[in-house]
Amino acid sequence: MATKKEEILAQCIADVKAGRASVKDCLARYPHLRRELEPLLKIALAIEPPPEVSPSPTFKARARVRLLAQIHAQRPVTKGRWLRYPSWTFQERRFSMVAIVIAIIVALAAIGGGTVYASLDALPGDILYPEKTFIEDARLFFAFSDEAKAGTYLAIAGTRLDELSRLPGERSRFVEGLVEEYRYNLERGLDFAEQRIEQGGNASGLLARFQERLAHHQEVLQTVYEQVPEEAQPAIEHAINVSGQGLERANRLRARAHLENAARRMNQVSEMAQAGRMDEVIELLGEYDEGLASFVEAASETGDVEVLLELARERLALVFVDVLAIVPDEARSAIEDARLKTMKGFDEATEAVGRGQDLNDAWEEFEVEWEEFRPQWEGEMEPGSEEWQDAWEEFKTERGRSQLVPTPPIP
Amino acid sequence: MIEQAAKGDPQSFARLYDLHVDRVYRHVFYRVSSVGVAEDLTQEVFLKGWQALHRYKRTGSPFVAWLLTIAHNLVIDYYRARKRETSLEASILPPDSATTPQQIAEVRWEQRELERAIMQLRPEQQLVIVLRFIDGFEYSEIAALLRKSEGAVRVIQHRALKELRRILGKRR
Repeated sequence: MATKKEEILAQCIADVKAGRASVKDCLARYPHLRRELEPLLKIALAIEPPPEVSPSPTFKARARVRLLAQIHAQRPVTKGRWLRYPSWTFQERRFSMVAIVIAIIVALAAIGGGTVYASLDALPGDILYPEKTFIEDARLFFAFSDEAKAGTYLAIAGTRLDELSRLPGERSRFVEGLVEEYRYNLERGLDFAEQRIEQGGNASGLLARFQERLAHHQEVLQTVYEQVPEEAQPAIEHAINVSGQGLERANRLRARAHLENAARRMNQVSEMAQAGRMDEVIELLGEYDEGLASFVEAASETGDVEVLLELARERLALVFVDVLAIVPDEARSAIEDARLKTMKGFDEATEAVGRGQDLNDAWEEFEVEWEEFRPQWEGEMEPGSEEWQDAWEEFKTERGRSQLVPTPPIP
Repeated sequence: MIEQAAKGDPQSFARLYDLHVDRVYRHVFYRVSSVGVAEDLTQEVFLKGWQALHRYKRTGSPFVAWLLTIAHNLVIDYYRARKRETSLEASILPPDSATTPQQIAEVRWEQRELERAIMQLRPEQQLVIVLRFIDGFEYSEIAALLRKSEGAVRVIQHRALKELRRILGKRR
């Protein structure tokens, strides 16, 4: 039983943490305990939760697969296996990894090739279904790169959907679980695609696959919705939402992937310029331009156009600062031109989107204007200067006026 | 989900893993300050959790709190094993390679001192302090987990804070 002192301390800690009282208030409330309370309160309040740390997605996925592999293989585990040895080393870790791989192979061999094949068609509730999910776990285990993992998770999500579409009515109790598994695998796949982008890999092809598959998933789910019993329809509706959100995320990620590709091209421009290979600089600038157009096209398919434009503006502005700081003079004006076009283009596109115009149309219009405007300033004025800005505004105004003249109807 | 897992359904246990892995990792990382060790111990927690699931009883404390007590025991085992070769002072919370979570964990010196002091408390006191102040559990939840009364938990907390004061006073 706690004495009053302990209760008072607990109450004071709770009050101060919740902002209901200050340390001073608490001490004033219990002057006879002040000497004991004060230092203990200070220590208690100094114990802070650590900053938010999260395990990496790669670790989480691998650990999940290992856990399932160990569970399925029924591998006996000795107490404190990894921890009993003070000289805990990588070798120790590798040993357990090898053991898991062996467990998977042995288990697969035990299941047998014919059974493996037969299990591919298994549905929840079938005897062979656990083998099917075990094989999926093994596939994930052996998918080492982020791209391979993303692709495998996407395939597994598709398998869950296929099972949903083939599930007989009397097994509708499995619908909710399948939808949850579909969501989980889809999100994991997209997590790995995102990780690939963040680690500098090219993910545009991978994300195109996600877009294509997700569009197909939507069609399948619509059909499934019409087929399932009424009580299972809310779960399918949820799956349709999940799939729609997945598609939206894949669209955004694809835009980001194109943005990163453009940034990579510009860094290659810098390398070639430093090596004095101007022919390749020009070629790469062309590819950068195409990358920019691909980004715009992908961004226009999302519901976050303005956010993506802002992100792209910031990202590429930083790339240009780095590149222009080191490139030799002969490449500077071509790169400065690309920078100016990028920044001006994003400004104009953001404005146009704000007015309700489609991003793709706005960008195409800008590209035409940019080429028409070029002869007016090239060799005449410093690009980006005040004089140049005024000329651009004047050019835009004139162009706007000319657009106001209605085109006569064709008789 | 817990019931399904306890009946031997690996997929249900995998869902429990998804729900709680972040929290378990965070708890372990706070205690060991090393990404590699935290990852391995986290993995071990779930494996042990699976093996001991039949012993889990709904006691009024959340399932994650039960997992954290497994984590707590593993962390103690880990330090005990390390202590055989190195002194406690040298082995607790060593500065590790510069990966992001480590950099995040580079908090003020006083905070580190406090963490070191917590690691020197008796296991039960450590558990109460970490569950209460780091993991944010209520007294009632900790009490259910330790199968003690709430008052008894507050007594342990009081004694732990006094002990921390003594350890920190000795260092300064």
